[in-house]
Amino acid sequence: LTPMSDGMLKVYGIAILAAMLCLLLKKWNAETATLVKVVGGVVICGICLGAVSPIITYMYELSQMSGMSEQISVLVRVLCVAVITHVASNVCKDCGEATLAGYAELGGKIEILLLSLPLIEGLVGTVIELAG
Amino acid sequence: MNKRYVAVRLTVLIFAVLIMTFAVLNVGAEDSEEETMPREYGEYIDSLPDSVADQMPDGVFSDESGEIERAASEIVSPTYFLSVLLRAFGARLEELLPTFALLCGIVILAAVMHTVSSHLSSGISSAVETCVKICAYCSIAGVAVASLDRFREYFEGLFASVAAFLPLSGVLYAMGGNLSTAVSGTATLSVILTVCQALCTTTVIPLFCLCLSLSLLTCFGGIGATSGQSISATVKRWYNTALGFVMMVLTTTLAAQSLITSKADGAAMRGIRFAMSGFVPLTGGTLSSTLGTLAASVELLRGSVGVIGIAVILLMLIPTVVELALLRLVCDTAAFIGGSLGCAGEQRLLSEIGGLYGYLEGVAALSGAIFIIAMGIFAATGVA
Repeated sequence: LTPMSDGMLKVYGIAILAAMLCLLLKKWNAETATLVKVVGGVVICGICLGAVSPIITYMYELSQMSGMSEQISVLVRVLCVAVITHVASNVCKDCGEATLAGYAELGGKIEILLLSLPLIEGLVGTVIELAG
Repeated sequence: MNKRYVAVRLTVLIFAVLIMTFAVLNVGAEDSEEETMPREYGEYIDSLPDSVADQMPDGVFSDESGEIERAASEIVSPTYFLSVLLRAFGARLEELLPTFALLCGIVILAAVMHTVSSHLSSGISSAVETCVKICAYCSIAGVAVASLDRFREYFEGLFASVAAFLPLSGVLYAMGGNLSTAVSGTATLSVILTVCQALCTTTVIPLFCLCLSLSLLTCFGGIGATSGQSISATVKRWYNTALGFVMMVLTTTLAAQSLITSKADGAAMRGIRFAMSGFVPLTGGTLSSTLGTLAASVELLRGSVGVIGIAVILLMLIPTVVELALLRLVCDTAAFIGGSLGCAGEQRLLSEIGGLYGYLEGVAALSGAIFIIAMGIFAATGVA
C-alpha cells in the first residue's frame, strides 16, 4: 500500500462526514443538509486545488524548458476555471436550481473563451502566416 | 497508408538509381598524367559549404589532376558513403531526440487534459477540449515549422553549388573539344537550375505550409473532416506528379542534347584529326595522336570532376533526407502514442505532418537526383 498524503485523508474524512450529516439532516431540515453539502464540496475542492499546486509548479518548470510556457499557463488557468465552474454548477443543481447551473456554465464557457483568445489569435496568425 | 509506402519505395528507388549512376562512373587514377586544374575548379571548390568541404578527402582541394583523381577514386568506394550515411544518421538522431520528447510531452499533456475534461459537465468539457486542442495543435505546428530551416539551407546550398559548377563544366567540355556541347549543355543545365530554383524556392515550402494549414483545419473538424479524406494529401500528390514530370522533361532534354551535340563535336574533331594527319607534312600523324592522348586525359579528368560534383550533391542530400526520414519517424511514433492515449485529433495532425515530411523527402531526393543525373551525363559524355 502506498502511503496517502494528509490532504487526501482530510478529503475522504470530510466527504464521509458531510455525507453522514446530510443523511441525518435530510429528514428534519433539508435546507441545512444542502448547506452542509455545499460547504463540504467547497472545502474538498479547496483541499484538492491546494494538493495539485506542486503538479502545477512542475508543469510550469517543464513548460519553461520546452518553450511552451504561454500554452501551459493558459491550460492551467482554463482547468482551474473549469473546475470552479463545475463545482458552482453542481452546487446550483444540488439546490434544485438548474437554470442557475446553466448560467454558471455559460459564465465558465465565456471565461474559458476569453482565456483561450490569445491562443486562438496565435493559431489563426500561424495559419495566415503559413498560407500567406 | 499504402500511398505513403509507395512514396517510401519511390525515394528508395531514386537513391538506388543515384548510387548506381555513381558506381558506373569511370574513375582511374593509375594511368593519368599530372596536370594543373583549370581556375574554375578552384572557384567551384571554394564555393562549397563548410559542412560539405569537411567531409571531402584532402585530394579534392589539390591543384594536381592526379591527386583529384585519387580523391575521386576514394569517394566512389562504398565505405566512404556508408560512413557519411552513418555519421549523418547519428548526428541527426541526437538532434531530433528533444523534438521527439517535446512531441510526446504535448501528446501526453493533451491526453491528461482530455481525461480531466471528460469528468467535467458536458458544457464545460467541450470548452476545455477546444482549448486543449488549440494548445496542442499550436505547439505541434510550431515544431513542424521550426524544422523547415534546414530544408531551406539544403536548397540554398544545392543551387549555389550547381551554379558554381556551371563554368567548370563549360571549360571541361571545351577542353575535350566538345564546343557545341559546352554551349548547349551549360545552357540547358543553367535552365534546369533556374527552373528548379524557381520551383523549389517559390512553391515547395509555401505548399508545405498550405498543406499544414489545411491539416490544421481538417483536424479542427473543418474542411474534409467528415469525409475522412485529407485535402493536403491530394494537393501534395498532384504537386509531386507535376514536379516529377517537369524534372523528367528537363533531364531528358539535357541527355538528348548532350548526346547529339557530342556526336556532332566528335565528327568535327575526327575531320580535324584526319586533315591534320593527311595534310600536315611529317608531324601531322604525331599531332593527331597527341590530340587523342589529350582527349583521353581530359575524359579522365571530366570523370573525376563529375564524381566530385555528384559527391558534393550527395553530401548535401544525405543529411537532409536522413533528417526528414527521422522527423517522419518521430511524428509517426508520437502519433502512435497519441492514438494509444486516445488523442484522435493530435494523432491525425501528427500523421499528416509525417506525410508532409515524406513529401519534402521526395522533393529533396528528386531535386538532388536531377543534378546528379546532369553531372553523370557530364562525366559520361565522351570527348570529341
